[in-house]
Amino acid sequence: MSGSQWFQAVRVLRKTIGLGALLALAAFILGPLLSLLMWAVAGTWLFPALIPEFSLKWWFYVLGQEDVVKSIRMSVESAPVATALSALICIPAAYAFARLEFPGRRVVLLSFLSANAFPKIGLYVSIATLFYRLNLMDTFAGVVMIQLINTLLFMIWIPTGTFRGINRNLEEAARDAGAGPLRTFFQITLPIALPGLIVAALFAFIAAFDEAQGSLIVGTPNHITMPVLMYGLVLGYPQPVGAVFSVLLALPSLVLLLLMQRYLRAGYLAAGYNL
Amino acid sequence: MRAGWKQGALGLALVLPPLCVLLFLVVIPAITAVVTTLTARAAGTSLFSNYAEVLGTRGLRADITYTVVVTLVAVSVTFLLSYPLALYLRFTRSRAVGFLGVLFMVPLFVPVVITSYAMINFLVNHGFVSTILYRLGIQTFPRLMYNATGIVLTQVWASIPFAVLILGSGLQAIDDALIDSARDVGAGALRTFFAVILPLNMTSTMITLTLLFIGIFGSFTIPFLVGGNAPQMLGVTMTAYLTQYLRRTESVTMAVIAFLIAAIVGAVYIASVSRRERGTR
Amino acid sequence: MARLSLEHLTKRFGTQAAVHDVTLEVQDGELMCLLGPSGCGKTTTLRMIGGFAAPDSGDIQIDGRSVVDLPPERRPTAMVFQRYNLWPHMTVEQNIAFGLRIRRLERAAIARQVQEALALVGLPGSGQKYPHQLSGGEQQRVAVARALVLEPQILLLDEPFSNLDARLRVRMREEVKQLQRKVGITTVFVTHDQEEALTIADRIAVMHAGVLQQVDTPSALYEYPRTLFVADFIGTMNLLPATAQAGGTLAAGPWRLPIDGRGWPDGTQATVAVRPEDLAVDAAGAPMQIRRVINLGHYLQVLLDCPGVGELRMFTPKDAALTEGAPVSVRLVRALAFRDSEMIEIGGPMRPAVAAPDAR
Repeated sequence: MSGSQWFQAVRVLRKTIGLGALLALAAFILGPLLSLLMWAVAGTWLFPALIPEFSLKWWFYVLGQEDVVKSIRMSVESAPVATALSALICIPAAYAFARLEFPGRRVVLLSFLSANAFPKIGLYVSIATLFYRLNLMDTFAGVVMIQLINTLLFMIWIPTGTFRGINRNLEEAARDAGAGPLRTFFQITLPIALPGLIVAALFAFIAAFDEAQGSLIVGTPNHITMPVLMYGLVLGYPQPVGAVFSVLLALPSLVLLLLMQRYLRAGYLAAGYNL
Repeated sequence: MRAGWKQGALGLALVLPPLCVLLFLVVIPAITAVVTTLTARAAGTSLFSNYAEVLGTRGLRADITYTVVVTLVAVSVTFLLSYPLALYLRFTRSRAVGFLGVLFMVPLFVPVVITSYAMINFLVNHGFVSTILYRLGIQTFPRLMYNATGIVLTQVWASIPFAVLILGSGLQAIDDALIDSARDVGAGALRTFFAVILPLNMTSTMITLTLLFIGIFGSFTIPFLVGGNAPQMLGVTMTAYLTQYLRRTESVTMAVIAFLIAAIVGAVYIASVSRRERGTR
Repeated sequence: MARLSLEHLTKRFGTQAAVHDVTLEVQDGELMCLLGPSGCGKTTTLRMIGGFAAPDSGDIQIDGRSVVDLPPERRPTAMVFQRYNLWPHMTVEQNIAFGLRIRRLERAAIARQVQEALALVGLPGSGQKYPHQLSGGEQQRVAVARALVLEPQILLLDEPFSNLDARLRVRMREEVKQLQRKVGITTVFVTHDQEEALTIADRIAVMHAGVLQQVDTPSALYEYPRTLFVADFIGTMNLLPATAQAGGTLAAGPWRLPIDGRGWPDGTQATVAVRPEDLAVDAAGAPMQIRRVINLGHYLQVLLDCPGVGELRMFTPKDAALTEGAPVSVRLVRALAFRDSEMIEIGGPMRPAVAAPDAR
């Protein structure tokens, strides 16, 4: 083969390998979800059948369980509250990190990052003790606070990066036109920052919704969320039950993903990573 | 001067609410935990006797080593898969990029419990993968679930979006002109990568590796549902000691040890970042 | 319409003085340019006037009233930035009406003023467009309209055209000049482009390293720069190192310039600055070589190789018969000599020819 023929062949080979690798990776990502989805609509699925017998009977079973419905209720009520609360306290703080100079700014910002490094289980012991004393065990508020901890990282980091990305001239122009700091924040800064804040809220919601470890300790026995219930389902019930419940649990996140996909440009998400 | 003082006060005031939450729900519990490990011991024993005991127990030492090894493997595999992916998404001009970008973000939106459950069904003996392999005529294959392999595969699955995101954002910051000029002087793709892209993207790389390590090292849900019985990852051991054996002190001691290991990794990252920052000044 | 007065304005960033003891008066209705290279402190000064930076010491007065303690929203100033003026999530109409709504004007009045403002800057009917639908020049025009609609006493412009291409820049600054004349508003215009400043300013304040060098009309700055920096910065200038010699002369290159009665001791170092148009071909001048002749249409630019000095630039009328590589004799018609803070004028358009060549 001549030199250029070889080069072409290698290029084609490289492209095919590349494409193959990409497809393999895509299959790796989608495969588990696909199999889960099939289990969720399976009546029975015996090895080595490639696809199961389809049936929705397990859906009726799962939705008929009282503790399932209760946990759905609990999750759907607590996660949005935790997210909203998180947004309320974190977004002004993120603005401060982005725009204002104050002593200890770097240290405090870093500490929000590093808070995630301490194993949660080590924290939950002390938190449980604290909650006992404050009568927060097995309460809605207690569960919300546990979920709140998980949201802090996203609600500080991403909005800080978002606010930093807004050119100061835009805010200065508003002050110049006669707007005070508060009006400038609400009428100028916030609307421009909205896409980034929505992304932050999305991740915060997912983190709150999926929290299980702490809620297990704090929410038992009357305030069980879906992920906590899931632990038991995975271990104790026939496979379709777990799969059905998984789909239910994944539903809010995936719906939000579809609604927000245009906001998911890497720029917003990673903007906060430049300390 | 006056303006500076006011700004500082306002900044602190705005940061106070989440800082309080952080303080009361993370920092103080963490400090309490550390204090417990130093004080909850029999009279006459040394200050670090709890640590000595944990590190002296063979099973727990095995768990620590196991956790470190599994984490390193998971981080490496994630990194080796994510970097090419990030490069591909950054540099190809095909129309599929948008779709692929969203595709590889999907695991980010799947709760960890479900990830574990899906992986179990996918990889377990007589599960999806083994069914396909069986159909292709392959009857025996290594066990992929309820062991370290299962943990690694699941962690990789869950970590790829995060790694691609951070690496990708670093790559975005590299001007096309820099790549073009490298190719212009004759550098091939591989040489361009090692000489231009990798160094310029070092910050994102360090962040990715650090955060991946810390996240996987201290994880609970995935190793709990997907891992074997012994040895176990520290997150599982800690929880078992707390909730099953009711041995609170040992559990918290392990938590502190895990945190120290994570802190060391974090410190390495910060040191390397500040060294680079000082170098560029 | 108001007078602006800056008194001993100083601002430090860390240990560096970004602006050092700047005192400046801007007359009512005047267009004053702050001119200087990057980092000279002109933008910092402008931002202090607008209220976006607080001076470490000094005062800012508008019509005799100190405004230095007022936040930007209460100052009677309006600023047009270099970039990111318009709020992207609002239409042009909403951008312009923003300040009017804050002042609680009624809807009809607001609508009318917005229309007038848009007509004033030549963009009637663009009210419903979004900023990203406008070109760079149009965006800056809307920014100017938005500033003017609030009827400020002082208009501040921070290199508003630096981001536009050259042709557009020239057109826009003409428009701004006409607008400013028409409305009669006191204006401070920051730029690093001396051509821009010379074209539109009533007076120019030249700054360098935070210090005000000279404040004068464009022609005065051109004819009588008072420091070496200004001499070099404005227009083109030939610079020659010079030494004072006994007998009251200054030796600059091949020329001996009379500076009698100046009291510069023998051996003093100075710099002589000569405009290209102040070099003339003269048989009695200093000999040198022509390196290049560039025909610029209505005049010639001649690059000369001067022994002991290097390259000199000369402008001559286009009918001069000059060939590249040929020798030529050149004399100094007029020059300025700078030593520390002193400036001496040598020769001049009214005075007879001055320099005699170095006697061989």
